[in-house]
Amino acid sequence: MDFSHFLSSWILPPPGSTYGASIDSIYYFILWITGAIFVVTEALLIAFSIRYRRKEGRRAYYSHGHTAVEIIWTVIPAILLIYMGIASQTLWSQLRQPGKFPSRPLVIRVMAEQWLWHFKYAGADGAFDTDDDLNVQNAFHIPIDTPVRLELASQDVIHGFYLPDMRVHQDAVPGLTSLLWLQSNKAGTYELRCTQFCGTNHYEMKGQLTVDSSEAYKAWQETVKAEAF
Amino acid sequence: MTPAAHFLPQPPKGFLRRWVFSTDHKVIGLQYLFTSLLFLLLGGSLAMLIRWQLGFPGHKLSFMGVLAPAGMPQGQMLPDYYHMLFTMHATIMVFFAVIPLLMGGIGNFVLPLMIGAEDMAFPRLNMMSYWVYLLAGIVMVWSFFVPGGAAKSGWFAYAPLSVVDTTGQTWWIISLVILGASSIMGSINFITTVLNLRAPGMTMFRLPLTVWAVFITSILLLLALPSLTVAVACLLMDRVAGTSFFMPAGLIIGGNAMDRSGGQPLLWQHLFWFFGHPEVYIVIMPTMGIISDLISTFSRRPLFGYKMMVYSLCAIATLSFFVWGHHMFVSGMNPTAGTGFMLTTMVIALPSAIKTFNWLGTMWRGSIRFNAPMWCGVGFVATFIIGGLTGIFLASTPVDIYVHNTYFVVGHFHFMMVGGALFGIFGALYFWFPKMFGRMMHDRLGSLHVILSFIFFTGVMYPMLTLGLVGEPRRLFDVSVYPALAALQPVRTFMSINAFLLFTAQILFVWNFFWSMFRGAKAPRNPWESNTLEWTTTSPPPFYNYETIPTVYHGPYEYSVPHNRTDWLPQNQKS
Repeated sequence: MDFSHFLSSWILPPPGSTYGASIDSIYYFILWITGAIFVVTEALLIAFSIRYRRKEGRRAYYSHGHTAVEIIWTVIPAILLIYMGIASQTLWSQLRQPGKFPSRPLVIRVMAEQWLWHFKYAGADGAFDTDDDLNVQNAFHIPIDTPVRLELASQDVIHGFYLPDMRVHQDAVPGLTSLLWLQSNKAGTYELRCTQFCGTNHYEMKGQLTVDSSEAYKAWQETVKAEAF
Repeated sequence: MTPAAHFLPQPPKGFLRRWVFSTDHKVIGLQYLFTSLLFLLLGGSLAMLIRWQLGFPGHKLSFMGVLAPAGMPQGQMLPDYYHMLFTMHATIMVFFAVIPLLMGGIGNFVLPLMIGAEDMAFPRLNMMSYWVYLLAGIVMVWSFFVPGGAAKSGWFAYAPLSVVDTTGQTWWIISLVILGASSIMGSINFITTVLNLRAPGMTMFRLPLTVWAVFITSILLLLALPSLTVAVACLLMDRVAGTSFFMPAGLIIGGNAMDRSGGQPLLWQHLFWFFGHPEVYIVIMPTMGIISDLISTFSRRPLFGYKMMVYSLCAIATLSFFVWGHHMFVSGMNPTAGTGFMLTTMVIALPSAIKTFNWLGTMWRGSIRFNAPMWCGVGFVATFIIGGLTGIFLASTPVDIYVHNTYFVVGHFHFMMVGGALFGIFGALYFWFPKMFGRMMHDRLGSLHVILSFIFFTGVMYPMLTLGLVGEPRRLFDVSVYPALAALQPVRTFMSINAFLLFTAQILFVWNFFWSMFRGAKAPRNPWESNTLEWTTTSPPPFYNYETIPTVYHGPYEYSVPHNRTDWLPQNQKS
């Protein structure tokens, strides 16, 4: 088997959304900090286990602690943790506070059910619940470099809407509409995985996102329209 | 000397009163211990079936075709059987194996001894809490045999799925309500015992960390568990009485319109995790205490920063009630709440970090004896570091978006629950076995068991982290619909082989445990040359523990005191 996976997978797959790189940079920042702490503490654990193993005639050092040292190893992690928290918070509010979403997005309504994803587009008139709404199942498309707003809901149990390549993840909860946004800068097809256990066929609840150039996106919409009539 | 001091109570004469319906905390502790070890075996066996499906998907297990013909016809696992396996694996491990082992088993046995008490404050309540726990366990096992099998909506039973699950879910609820009652009885007993029955001179800041940890954990249990009981009671009403605590209007499940309105699925999550996050600290805190005692004893050094260790336990306990929302960052909860929960979660990492540094500080310049309990101590710290550090990724809201509900989470909490809690449990059993049974376990065999367990454990759990980072969702019966994930099948097979080896390695423990119980070398009073009070009485202790109640003169970690003849100084000896 290929053991390189065990190390290489700490590198995240390349992001396909505009904010993916920002999420990844916080991830790598935490990875460096925690990686360094990991190496130092585990090394000390091994070193102390070897260096201070029992030897005849040596007596352990009697001391109940060291206040200055304890203050240092309280304050430094505290600063790092607060910094990680603040860095995360700035990005989090951009991602999740609806007031900070990009303006004039393409709106898609997502309705989950056991074990399908329904996507609804407003169509040419830009309004939902009119005759020209476009409905697709499981596979949906968005245009590249365009802000997209997703309105996520479920009609039965909770499902998890997870586009790992886009760094998009949100539960679809019945009785609740969750708002998300996304702007992709990389054309391609990406997997949509259900991450909230939702019953017997949960493992097969797979969807697909295609990020199209604007021409390809228009062409796809025409095909969907043609199929609907 | 008063006449009362000459009166030594005798144990009850009859077998039933002495060994079955006993009010002696030591007997009850052992009853808890053996029962929860059986549940550990059951939970572990379920994990093996899970790993079979993940490592060798589609391969038949013919003996299971006989044992579970409905879930595994001809030995071929069906998806819902897999879903039941992961639900019941977690439920049994958390509620019926790990917590009862640590609190009911080890806590019950050692806590009164460690504080110099004759028994728990309420011996009959103690007995009742065991029998109620056993009843809850029997109901949970019974649920495997009802039509449709046991619960299969995950151990956190998210509504509405748990509302429409088969009958097994109802039994799951009933069992947890019963267990909640048992747990409250136990917690009240521990809290009262620690506050009222400490021997003369045993001030709160002379308590061993194990006692502190069990004490604080009891407070957590007492405050957190009612939230679960309330939640499952509401869930039961939603299931059987047509209420809609968790059911919103307009649901269509499996083609059936549900005639409910007004409920909110997120309410379940809030109630569950308000219990559920203190719960994970309930699992890890007793082991933090035990490990502190082990590391100090075997390093022959005073615990580094004793008061800081106590304060950080208190800090973790308090903060644990303000972090539950980090399970819900992507649940649809208001994002502003996510901000608050991220900050509290970042803060709770701090006392855990301090504890780790203090354990290392305790080993520093020690004279470390590598007996089996100490191997557990080192194994615990090594895995606790990984579990703790991976938690920081999950605390960061943007990063959690990517790794939430993936195997990264599964890896993270198994490093805590198995690496942490289980090494603590094994450490405690190797350490206190002589006190429990009056005989020594085989030390080399024990060390081998711990080292092998550590290797195989890492082989199962570490790849979970990396699988999570490529975006593999947890709880998938079969990944073959996702080609990118299916390509990593050799990794899963490797993990499963390690899991089977981990399970097999436990034979060493079981054999050592039972062989030593009858054939092990006779244990002296204080085989580890430890300071705490339980080592000042005989092994095993007499009924009512102490011939005379000891008087305590100093803290529990006076190791290697200069100018003292020995490198230990029991708490009941003046320096």
